[in-house]
Amino acid sequence: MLFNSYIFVFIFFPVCLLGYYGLLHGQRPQAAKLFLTFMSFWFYGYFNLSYLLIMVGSIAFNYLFHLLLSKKPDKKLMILAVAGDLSVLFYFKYFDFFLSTVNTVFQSSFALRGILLPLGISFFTFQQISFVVDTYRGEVRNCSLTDYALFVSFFPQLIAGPIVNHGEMLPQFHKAGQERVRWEQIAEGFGLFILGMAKKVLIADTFGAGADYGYDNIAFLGCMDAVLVIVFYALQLYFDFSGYCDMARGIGKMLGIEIPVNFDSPYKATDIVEFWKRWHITLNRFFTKYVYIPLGGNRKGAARMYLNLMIVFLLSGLWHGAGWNYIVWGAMHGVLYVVTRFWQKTFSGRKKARFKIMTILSQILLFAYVSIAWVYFRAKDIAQANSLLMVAFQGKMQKISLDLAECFQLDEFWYVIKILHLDNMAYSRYILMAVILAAGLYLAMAGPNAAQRMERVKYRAGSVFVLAVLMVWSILTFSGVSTFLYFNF
Amino acid sequence: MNKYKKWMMAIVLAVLTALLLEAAVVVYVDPFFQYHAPLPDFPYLVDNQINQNPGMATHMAYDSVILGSSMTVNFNTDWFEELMGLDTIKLNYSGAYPKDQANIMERIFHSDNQVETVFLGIDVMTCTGGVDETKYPIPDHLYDDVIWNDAAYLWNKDVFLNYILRPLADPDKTDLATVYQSWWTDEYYNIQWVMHNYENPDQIAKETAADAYLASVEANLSQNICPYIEQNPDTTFYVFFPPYSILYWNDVIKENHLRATMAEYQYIADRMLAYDNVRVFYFPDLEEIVTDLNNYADYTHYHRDINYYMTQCFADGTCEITDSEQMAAALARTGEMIARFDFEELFSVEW
Repeated sequence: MLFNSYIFVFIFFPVCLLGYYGLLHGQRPQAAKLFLTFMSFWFYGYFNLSYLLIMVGSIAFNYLFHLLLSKKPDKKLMILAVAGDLSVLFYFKYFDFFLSTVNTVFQSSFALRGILLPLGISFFTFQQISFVVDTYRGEVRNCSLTDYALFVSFFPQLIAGPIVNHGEMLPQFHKAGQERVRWEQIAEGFGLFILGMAKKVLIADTFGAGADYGYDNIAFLGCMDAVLVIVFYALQLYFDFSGYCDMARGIGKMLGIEIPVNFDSPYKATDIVEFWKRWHITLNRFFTKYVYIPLGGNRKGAARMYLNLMIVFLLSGLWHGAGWNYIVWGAMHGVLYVVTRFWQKTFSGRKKARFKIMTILSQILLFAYVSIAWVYFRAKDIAQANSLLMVAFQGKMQKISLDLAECFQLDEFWYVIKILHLDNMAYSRYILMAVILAAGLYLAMAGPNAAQRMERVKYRAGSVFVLAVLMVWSILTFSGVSTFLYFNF
Repeated sequence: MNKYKKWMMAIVLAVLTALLLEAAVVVYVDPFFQYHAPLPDFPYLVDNQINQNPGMATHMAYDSVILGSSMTVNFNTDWFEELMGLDTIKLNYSGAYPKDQANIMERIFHSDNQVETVFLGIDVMTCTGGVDETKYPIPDHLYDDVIWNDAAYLWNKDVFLNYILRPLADPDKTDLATVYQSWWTDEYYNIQWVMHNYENPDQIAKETAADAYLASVEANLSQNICPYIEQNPDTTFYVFFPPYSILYWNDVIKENHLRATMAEYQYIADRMLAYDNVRVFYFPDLEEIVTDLNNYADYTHYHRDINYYMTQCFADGTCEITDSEQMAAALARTGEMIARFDFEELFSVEW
């Protein structure tokens, strides 16, 4: 199930909180952890029962290797475990991509399998790889099966991360029930959950409607439409993914578990190196520890370091999705990252003259570059991405599409527009799009993020009102009424 | 109680109160008629077949119902009162597949209404699909009797804003006699408009086998239509074949499935004629109507005057088919009409 669903908000999570704290209150921490694991299995199995079997199999497989490696740290054994994990990931995520690539290169016609991708498989596979490797390295010993199963399946971070490591989670599981209930942490988590939900449901999905319209109608877009669509997707992705992570962190806090920060206002970054310290932080941490450093990191000279960085970004592209467009996306980030590192290394001794305007300009340029790269991330293939970019750079300069603006005509603002008589203005259909875009850009590029807002929140009536409104508004937005055009058969 | 606990509880309480109040308003007004009949004074907006039909079927009062695709949306239920003395409701689904008809019949025959008559328009092109296929995804929570999945109705921004607040702010009560009527106004019904928008398909060389459609039609009728006819012997089903324009038949010829289509018509008629409580009406051979594209807004959709004529036929039995031989003769007349029509001349004009 999803966090932004009725069953999660009204049934699953209240039951989870009551059951967990009930068991802790009864001095039964082991049962409380088992209960959380069971709830996590329910959470995951709700999508599809066969997904749950895959995850449980994966947990059993890796735990077995953990036991073996705990007794004897054998490199071959560790490689076998990692290879096993990657094979499963390859089969579910990359096998069809591999076949279609073979078909293209060798003009063959292997039938694609249409394999269903179990949700979150990339996340729980990476998490387990890190666990097995760290067991081999001696960084983790004798983890119980219940703790391990909870570590992998812990529902707040199961399907969309962050990619947590044992060092930050297992000690917290051990401490369950040993500390008093911290209401401050629970309250902060609740607020963060609401803000994350609002980011996802109210902001990301609104930009998503504009982005979807654009990608479905590239042939009808003018130059300005295409630029807007590119920006809409950049904002959608940020609010969606970071909103989900905020919800995950909020849920974790409500259960007394701190989940690491995964997004730290990445669009405030002024260069790509900083961007990757702020965007999907835990994935970068994983790649740094388990790919970049084992490849030699920066210890084998500058050229090798740049090569290692490119490898990491290409792998990151592939991790995000099975398609050449993701590899292009990874390469675009890799190239800029290498160039930036080279620049920083070469000119590091010079005195920096940072004017505010330069900082803002850097931020805007980086946002533009990252947004263009996201086109390859969102498009169904490279050709579609190229066609959107062609329209953006060479398309006809025409009035912004009314159909695109229509995606932002949220019903809740219909009354405001009517009351203010804005509907009679010449450009009235564009007002909401402009306002929502400006608000989205401000929140992403200049305003405090959800975590910062919760750190500063005053626990008074004002914040009660704002958060209650956001939560009700979000819940009412979980479902819409489908409308279809009934013109034809 | 510490301030954090108090703060959190205040939010929970505020949210629950707001959600309960909102849900109470939805239940009271019930714009999709899930819980009760319409309030007498509320200006209900009815414009969403998939979401509103099941509730209308369950909680409105009627003794006759019109089912079918967009071919049936231009019927006016007042005509049925006037010509046949029936209190009729329209529960059509544009683009409906047989499964869509089954879904709504399930609701109709589980309601408290004594349904005397069902007018069911059959579109042959939709009977060849899968038996469980619906035109659009069905919101299950509106088609079942369980309450626990009603959250998507009770706490739904669109329901609250568009079907409760907006009608209150800007009342324009839907007339159920003409509900779901096509957006095409009179000026769209002319040959110029129809031909300008019509795309003449390429000729397909290989002919579809005459019996190609029969298996799926048989399955669809057996699962989605016939059970309701059999289980409701006191209800009379007026099953009718709508009069698509001559361009529809041009499509059939170009796509090379004329014999298969004719066989399908015959099969459906034969299946229906086997029931005592079914009356079959065949309109595709009405040459004056079918060959005059000024009656249409596209290759199949006809003007509401044609709907009125069909209602008259239901009332006086014109165009009724009573046995298999009559159906075969009607199909033969249709074939002759197609053969007589000068398609070459029609397509020689730049519209």
